[in-house]
Amino acid sequence: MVAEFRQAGCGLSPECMTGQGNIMNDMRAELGLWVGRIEKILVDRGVLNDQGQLETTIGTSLPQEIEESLDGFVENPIELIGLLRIAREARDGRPLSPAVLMAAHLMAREVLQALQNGEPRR
Amino acid sequence: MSAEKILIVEDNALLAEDLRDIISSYGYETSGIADSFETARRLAPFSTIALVDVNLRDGATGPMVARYLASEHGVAVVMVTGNPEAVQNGLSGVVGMISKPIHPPLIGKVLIYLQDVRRDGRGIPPSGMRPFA
Repeated sequence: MVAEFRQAGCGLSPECMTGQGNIMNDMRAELGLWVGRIEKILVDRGVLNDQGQLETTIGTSLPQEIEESLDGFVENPIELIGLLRIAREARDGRPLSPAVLMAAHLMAREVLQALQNGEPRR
Repeated sequence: MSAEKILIVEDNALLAEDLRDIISSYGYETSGIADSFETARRLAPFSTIALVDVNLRDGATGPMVARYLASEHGVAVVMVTGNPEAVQNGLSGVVGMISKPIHPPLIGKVLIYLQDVRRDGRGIPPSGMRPFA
């Protein structure tokens, strides 16, 4: 994102800084929305409990259908919890660097799409 | 800003960048992020403290990385892993282990502890960290 601003000739002027801040705020808002959807799917599929914590029955590996859905994005429950923690912190306003915010935004979008694609049809 | 240089050995880019943010928020500088033995080896001379995951891009080489950093470069190393069984018997020269998922306040306490160990040769390990004998 910062690189895109630089490529567009955007430096440290107030206009550019405001634009960058707006984009970061948008990303933070989207991340908050997506983490809620991810949590709901994971609760429905028995991975998280109602408090958003890993179910005690989940050991060191994810249920097979979740693991297959998330193949290539998330390898184990610890990585999934790591993503959820960062996304929740973004939603709750913890200051995050642009690198973390962008990486979390990208990964959360991919994880949500993968989980939605893997959801049982109703 | 502390004089310590913290090496992050972690192959998940998101978790590594988040850890860098956390470390920075406690006033420490990172020497870099390594995702394999080779990259850790290159960054070792510039590091005084390392936080090392077990599973890396080149396999479960974290314990080997940790022993190398401690024995060859005198780096104070703590394992940070979601797979504590892999290091349950401890590792020669390695200070201890904390479990993932990480909690930012514990990372801060571990860094203070490692700084004390490097300066005074001892310190009080924070609860939440399992010291190796």
